[in-house]
Amino acid sequence: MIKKFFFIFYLFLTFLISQNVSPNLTLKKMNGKSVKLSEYLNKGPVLINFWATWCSPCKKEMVFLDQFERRYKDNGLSILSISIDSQKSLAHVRSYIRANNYTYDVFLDPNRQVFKKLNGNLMPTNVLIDKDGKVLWRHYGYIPGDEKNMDLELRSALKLNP
Amino acid sequence: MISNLIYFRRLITTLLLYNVLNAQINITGTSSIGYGTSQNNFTFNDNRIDLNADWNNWAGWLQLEHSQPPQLGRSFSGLRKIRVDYSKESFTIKLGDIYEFWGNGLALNMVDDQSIDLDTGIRGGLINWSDNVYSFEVLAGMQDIWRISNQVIGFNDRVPNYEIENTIYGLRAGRFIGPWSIGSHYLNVYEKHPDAILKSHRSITHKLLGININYFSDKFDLSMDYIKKTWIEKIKKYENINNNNDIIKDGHGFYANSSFYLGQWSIGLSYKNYLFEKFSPQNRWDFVNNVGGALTLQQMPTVFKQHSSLLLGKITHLIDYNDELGYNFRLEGPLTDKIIASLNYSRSSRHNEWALDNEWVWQAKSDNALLPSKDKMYNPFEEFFIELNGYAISDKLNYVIGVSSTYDVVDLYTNQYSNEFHFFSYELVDAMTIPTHFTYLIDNQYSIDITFEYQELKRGVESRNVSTIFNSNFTKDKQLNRFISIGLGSSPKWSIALNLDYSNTDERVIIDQSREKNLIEEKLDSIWDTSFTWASIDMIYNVNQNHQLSLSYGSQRGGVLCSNGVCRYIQPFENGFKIGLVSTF
Repeated sequence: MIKKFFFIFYLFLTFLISQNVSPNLTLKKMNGKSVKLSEYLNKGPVLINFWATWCSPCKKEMVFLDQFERRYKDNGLSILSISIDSQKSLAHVRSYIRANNYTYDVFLDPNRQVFKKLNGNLMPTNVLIDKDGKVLWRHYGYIPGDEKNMDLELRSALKLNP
Repeated sequence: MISNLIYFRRLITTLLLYNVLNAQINITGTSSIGYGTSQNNFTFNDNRIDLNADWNNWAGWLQLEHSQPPQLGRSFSGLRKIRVDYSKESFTIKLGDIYEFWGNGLALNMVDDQSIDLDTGIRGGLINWSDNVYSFEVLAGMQDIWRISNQVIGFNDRVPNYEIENTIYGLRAGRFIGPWSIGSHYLNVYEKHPDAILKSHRSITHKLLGININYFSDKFDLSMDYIKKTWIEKIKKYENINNNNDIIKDGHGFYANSSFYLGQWSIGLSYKNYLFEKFSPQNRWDFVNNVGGALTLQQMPTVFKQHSSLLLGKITHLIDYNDELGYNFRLEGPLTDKIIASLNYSRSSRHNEWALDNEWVWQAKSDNALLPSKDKMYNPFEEFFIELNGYAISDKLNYVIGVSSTYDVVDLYTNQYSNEFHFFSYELVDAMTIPTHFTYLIDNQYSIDITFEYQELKRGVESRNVSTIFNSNFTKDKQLNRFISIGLGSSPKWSIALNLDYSNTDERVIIDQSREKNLIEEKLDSIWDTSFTWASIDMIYNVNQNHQLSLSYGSQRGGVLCSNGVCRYIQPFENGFKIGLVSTF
């Protein structure tokens, strides 16, 4: 029993050493075509945001994501917004994005496979990764005001003054 | 011998650790721990660890679970899911637990939705080759689907008691041509239903052949899916009886969705026409004694709005994937630069009217319709929903205000014509709901969050014998529901909310006279009668960026929880507490 515990403990230690996202991660665009994460990582840091049309906190947060996208795009930041809407609400995704005039790239993950791969558990989930795929920051849920902290993390990733 | 074994295990452990540290294997994971106990014995102990590993072109995933018992589902302890993926350029190979989505879910939609205990994934293999012009995919595997039924022994509304075993193989091909994409898929499913009477099983072979066409542009998009399904049930031949009574039937499903974009405004129209099997009103929901029809792994678009409102969620239309047609119209866009408006109208019904003949046997009347009917004998559903989402007070206040009107003939009990009279009875849901949500940002750290929902719900049996009468399911003619949640948030650390779900009455069959009030309800009793009040306090604390703790105390009202078009009755949680911890490493 103790050995099993230590074995698991050893494994857990390894988690502390590296948290990376594979650049081979495949994302599905709204038009059905696929793209690799590496295409975005080549430009600079990437913020991956998981949301859904039925998730109220996600929608509140997306307003700020759009502001960050416009503000830091020229600095190399990419914001990838991945909708985990199932077949039930998939048809509403694009109209929601258009109505709000969001300009960042939106992807679909109806079976939550990318969500699980990036250890998503609660909604919304944000994962900020650097050019090498290393996880710099991760955040679950949205409490109004969280965008300030997110801004600081983005500026740090872009090596801009806080 | 034993010492050798210990040495060998140590060596393996060390080598594994060494490899992990040095061979650029990246392992990440998440764990969720949940425990709850209540006065009405709703106890659960849900623990899950997901591990993801990447090494060059390889990826692995495994999920360990220890749930004794979970909130919903069967108790389980051990390795729940495992998968290995290999990807190189355009090739992907997956072995293990696979989740795929074909033809907008008309062919297959593999989901693992633990909130309603629905798992339609397969354990097998998949080979995919795709570039951005062509794609090919082959999959094969086995699947166990567990469902809850009162038609078999051991009924419990928390624990599934009926297992369906499927063996699946399928292939699909697709092609992109400019803004168009065209695809076709074939699926063969060998389904085994347990047969309690014969202590054996019923074998059904389903063959699904589908085609999908998509168009995507800046101004317009279109998605169309058609599937034809044939199923054969092999009837066992007995000695001296040389008959061939195999049952062969077919059905189809069609789904289309189109959207037009005019600046920021969008107009959308979706249409569904699912006719996989015609079951009489009496057999409609009995999947144990009525095999065939739509498969559980066909989780198709529902073509009505998915709400985030608690009260609207409780009256969600229960879709019949075997026999339903309908449409959804939506309009969404900005009224001003601070207000987004959306309008949603949905309507659906069955394809035919069902009526009892002189022998009291259900018969489908009329031809199959192409558009949904408003006739009550067709089980019509209609919902109209408007929502405004805007900002005010220097963008410090965010408000969401909606109004919904819902009308749903849930079940048809009788429908009989004689020369002079038309007798009928059906269960009806007629509701008006106003969901609102306000968030006010006090400063950069603190915010107030208020949810107020109001609902007038009429649910009961409307029947006509001599005259039309309505018998409410409630002790009153209408149920008046209110849900209030008042929360305070402190970014980025914590949030706390007081939730009050209260009503003027409840359904006669579920009123629990022995229900004891919790501390919050006792305090509120001096303000109003809390006989039908369920109060709770929720707290979320972000320990750091990798750990989130949640605590809940109080009572939560039972009711229907819907997800992916599947609804399930959830037991009330009375006077208890829940604790949860989600960690990422």
